[in-house]
Amino acid sequence: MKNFVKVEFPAESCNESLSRALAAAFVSEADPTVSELSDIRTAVSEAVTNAIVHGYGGKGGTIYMTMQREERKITITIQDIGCGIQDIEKAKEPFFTTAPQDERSGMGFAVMEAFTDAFYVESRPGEGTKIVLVKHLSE
Amino acid sequence: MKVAFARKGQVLVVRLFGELDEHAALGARTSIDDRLRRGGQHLLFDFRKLTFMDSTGIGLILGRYKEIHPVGGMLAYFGADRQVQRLLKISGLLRIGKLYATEEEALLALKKEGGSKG
Ligand SMILES: Nc1ncnc2c1ncn2[C@@H]1O[C@H](COP(=O)(O)OP(=O)(O)O)[C@@H](O)[C@H]1O
Ligand SMILES: [Mg+2]
Repeated sequence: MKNFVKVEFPAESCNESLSRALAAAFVSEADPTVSELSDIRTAVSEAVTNAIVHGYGGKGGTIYMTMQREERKITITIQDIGCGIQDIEKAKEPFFTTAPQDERSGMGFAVMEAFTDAFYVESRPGEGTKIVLVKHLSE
Repeated sequence: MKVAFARKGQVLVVRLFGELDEHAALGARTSIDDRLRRGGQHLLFDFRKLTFMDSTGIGLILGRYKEIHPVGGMLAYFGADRQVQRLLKISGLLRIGKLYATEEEALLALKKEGGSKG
């Protein structure tokens, strides 16, 4: 079974829940467990929130989301054409945040790591960021 | 997201309903801080009706802890599902507040510990 969906939506905070619902709808066809579904929703929420608050700095823009399924493997990408990340390794460290004034916890990447089977960050300062989330569903 | 409160002695019980993400956080933060200003030393989070939370919720809880901690406030939680439990664990929130199965257990423990501290 193979399938894919591509969507784009404005970088507005109301679309955080929309992006989770889209991912859940796409994955539901593969009959995931309750935990797998909530893992995917959580990881997607982290990546989309980062694109909105960090990538576009809350000023709006467009978020590009793709969802792919190859048998039991789900791959979701979240991309922004925002400010990009200066130091990706530093950004991934637990509790590292460039927005402590907004009560950001700095745990977004740690959560993505914990709730997926693999995740990748591609980013260039001034060009934007692409997050790839991979989840293998149980048989 | 909806937030409801119950005052039990020195404990302010914060009941979270629905999805706690970045979109909902500012409203939730404002209502908790407003309510906290009207009294309550310790915070007990009720997660039973929380259907979703991400790291924004971690920031929210840590932020409230920073407000109550300097004045001797304690933090506790109950009713967390598997996803919320994992978030509490990886973020270290289980080290600054204890997780209980029920509200009664949590209230009893907070009362005991609060009392022993004077
Ligand atoms: N899409 C993005 N664009 C630009 N910077 C980002 C993006 N995603 C993450 N970052 C940077 O990485 C840091 C860590 O992200 P994260 O772990 O999610 O923590 P938080 O969102 O709480 O700051 C952010 O503070 C930000 O500086
Ligand atoms: Mg984040």
